[in-house]
Amino acid sequence: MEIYQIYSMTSAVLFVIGMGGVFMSKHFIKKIIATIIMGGGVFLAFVSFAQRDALSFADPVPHALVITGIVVAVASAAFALALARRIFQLTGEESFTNDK
Amino acid sequence: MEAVWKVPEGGGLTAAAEALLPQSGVEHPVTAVLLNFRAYDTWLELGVILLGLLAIYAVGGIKRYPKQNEAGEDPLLRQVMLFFTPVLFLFGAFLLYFGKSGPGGAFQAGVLWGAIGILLHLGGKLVFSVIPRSLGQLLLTIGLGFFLSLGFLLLARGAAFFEYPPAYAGVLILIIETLAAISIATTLTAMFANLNQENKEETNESKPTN
Amino acid sequence: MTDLPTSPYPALLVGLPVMMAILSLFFRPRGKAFLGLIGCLLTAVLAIFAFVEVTQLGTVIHRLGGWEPPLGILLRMDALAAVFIGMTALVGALISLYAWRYFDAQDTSTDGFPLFWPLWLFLWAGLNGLFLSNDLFNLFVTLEVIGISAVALAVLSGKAGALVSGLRYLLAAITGSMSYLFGVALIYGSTGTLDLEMLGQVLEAGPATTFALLVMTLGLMIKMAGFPFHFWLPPAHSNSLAPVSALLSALVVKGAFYILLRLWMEVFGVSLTYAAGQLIGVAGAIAVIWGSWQAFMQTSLKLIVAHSSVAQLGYLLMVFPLLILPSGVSAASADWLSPAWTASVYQVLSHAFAKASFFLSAGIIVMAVGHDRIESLRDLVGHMRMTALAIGLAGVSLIGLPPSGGFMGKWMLLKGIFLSGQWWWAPVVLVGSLLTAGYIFMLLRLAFAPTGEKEPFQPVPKRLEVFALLLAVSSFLIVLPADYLIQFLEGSEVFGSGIETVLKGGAYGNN
Repeated sequence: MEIYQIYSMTSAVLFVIGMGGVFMSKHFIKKIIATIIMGGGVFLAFVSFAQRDALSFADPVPHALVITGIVVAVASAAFALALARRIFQLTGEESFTNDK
Repeated sequence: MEAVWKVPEGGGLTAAAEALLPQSGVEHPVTAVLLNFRAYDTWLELGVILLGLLAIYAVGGIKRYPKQNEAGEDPLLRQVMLFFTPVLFLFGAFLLYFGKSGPGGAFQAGVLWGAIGILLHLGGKLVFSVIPRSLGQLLLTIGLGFFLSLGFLLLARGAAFFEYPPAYAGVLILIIETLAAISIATTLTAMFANLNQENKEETNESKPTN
Repeated sequence: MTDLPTSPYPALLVGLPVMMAILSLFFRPRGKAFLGLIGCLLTAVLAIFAFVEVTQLGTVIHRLGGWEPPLGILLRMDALAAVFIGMTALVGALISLYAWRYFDAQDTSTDGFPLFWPLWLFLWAGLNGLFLSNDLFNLFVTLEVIGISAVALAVLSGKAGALVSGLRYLLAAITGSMSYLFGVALIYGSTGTLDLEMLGQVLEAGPATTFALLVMTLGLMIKMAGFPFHFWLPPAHSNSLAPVSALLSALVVKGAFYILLRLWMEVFGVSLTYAAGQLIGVAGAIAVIWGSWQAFMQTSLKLIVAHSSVAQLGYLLMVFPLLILPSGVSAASADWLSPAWTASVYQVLSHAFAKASFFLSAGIIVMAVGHDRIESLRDLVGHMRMTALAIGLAGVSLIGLPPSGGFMGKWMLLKGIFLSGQWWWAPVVLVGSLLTAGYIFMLLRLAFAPTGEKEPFQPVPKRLEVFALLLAVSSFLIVLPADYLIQFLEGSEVFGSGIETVLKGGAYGNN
């Protein structure tokens, strides 16, 4: 067993936890956090392969992809939080009521 | 689970990046990938940050920024602000320049400078109520706009989109990174300012995490 | 690959809308709208030029930064991409013209509306970027551009209902893209490239590839509201402003479908099995029946139209089982491939035009009557002939009656189904059409019914009706160049090709 496999296994676990959280929780903030955890899993997967494929330095492409991905995730998380906040201001609701 | 356990070794692009690194204008491979080999992705990503801010504006419920908020009287916050603003600024500038040869660059610097904006905001100095509207808009868009104008300019000269002339690649990348860092910092500050108004609890999530 | 002609158009198609969006940010509301409209029209004109260039030169590419893949990113505009970009240009330009007048007619007290223009330009740039992209990760970035701008547009009205459905939409979109991105990570780890064309050659079957296929398909299904992930679509589409609903249903969902089609056809051939195709076909079939039935049960106009989107997207999924060849059959001898491809392209085109027209008409009716319960349609023919005609024509295209574009799509789908011998899909197409006819005729019956004790129609700008009608008419006109269009598409590598299943021996086709 190699080091990178610990990371890629962890990434899969995080991904599954996040996915489960998105579908099972109803609270806005919990759902948003679940998507962030999913994102964390995905980025860890990228970086684990970068470590495995290192030569004189670690593979730079996954690192660049992860930076891009993180920034994108920050933007969408900020947007989701703004939405959740505004809904709370307008209606006082903090979770989805009817279906999933 | 087995799927993740036994991912075949694809070899990655380390060798390819290493071979082309001297032509990229920078010494650090990640910066070379971000700002040169895959500059298009980075440009679109600057667009996504700006888009995130526009989306937050679209949610609505935004009033004019107050000139001063009550946190300004907190002496501890004031001291923290006074101490950390120059430190963060210098550290950000260092990371920005260091990105050429080591881990660092526009995003790291932008995030640190964004932290200055957030700190000032928490300390009662609301950045967006001080600077004029048009300057704010300029700061928000300059990274994306300059990057894009450069792309158009290169297209007009017959090169490909974002194909820097090798002799100027290093300088151009530094300019792009500086402007991008300014835009990222401004955008993050603006996002925080919007999430933070009215009720003041629970808004720390918007703090950047990269 | 390297000897294809290069062209600046692909880069311009993404760059120009972003440029106009940035410029428009510097202006006050009136200027924003003006610059936004100019930007939309310029982009549409540019797209037409690019389309013409592809018809003349064939597939064109643009090496971004001058670097070759796999390290660099390549934009590729082939016939399929050109058709999607052309569709976006036509539908987008008409919706933009409608939106210009529509926002003028709204009360100007809400100052969020001018944001429509930069957001829509960003959305357009994202769509063009998606259709042109040839890189797995770049596709993710364009998906995010589309996702964020689409949700931002959907919540533009600022009402609580729109915000809640917008948040649900956003969470679905983020989950979808993260799921897709996990697949990208696995693919990159196992091959060391992100370029679609190269992946098609080097990807080997194995558990990692199969898992990547699974999570990517899952993510894209969430994004295109394929059954059973359609839950976010009806509230999001029905709660937004009329031009936004039209954009979301006509264009945005097609983006995810386009990636799914490209991935299945060009990249994942090695991992696909007959069963996978059947499974996605079943999801499509359920969507057709369920969506049509739900639409039939609704009492508000916009909800009917939104549920009908779920059904119409189901038809698109039903194309996939036809594109997967049973083992031992070569693409050359499978005569159902061409009808199946034509069906998918025509279904996309006709749905884009018809659904856009439908939502714009619904917007006109809301403006005239103040609400969108279906009783508001009473005596529509007497008051607003053009809108009644638009709804009628768009409805006919959705049902799939000749000579509409929808007929072309469904007819070709049936032809493909019978030629391939997968007869079990045929009843679904027929029942779906019957149910669609049910709710369309219910609407039309009301439109001809005499006025009861309902609110009077307020006057609505004539130009709005013209644009809605133009879109409806276009959903018929697209049949005219059918021969030419199919010929044009057949020149592309993807069109007319199928996926050979590898289920010959072991579980993953290892020899």
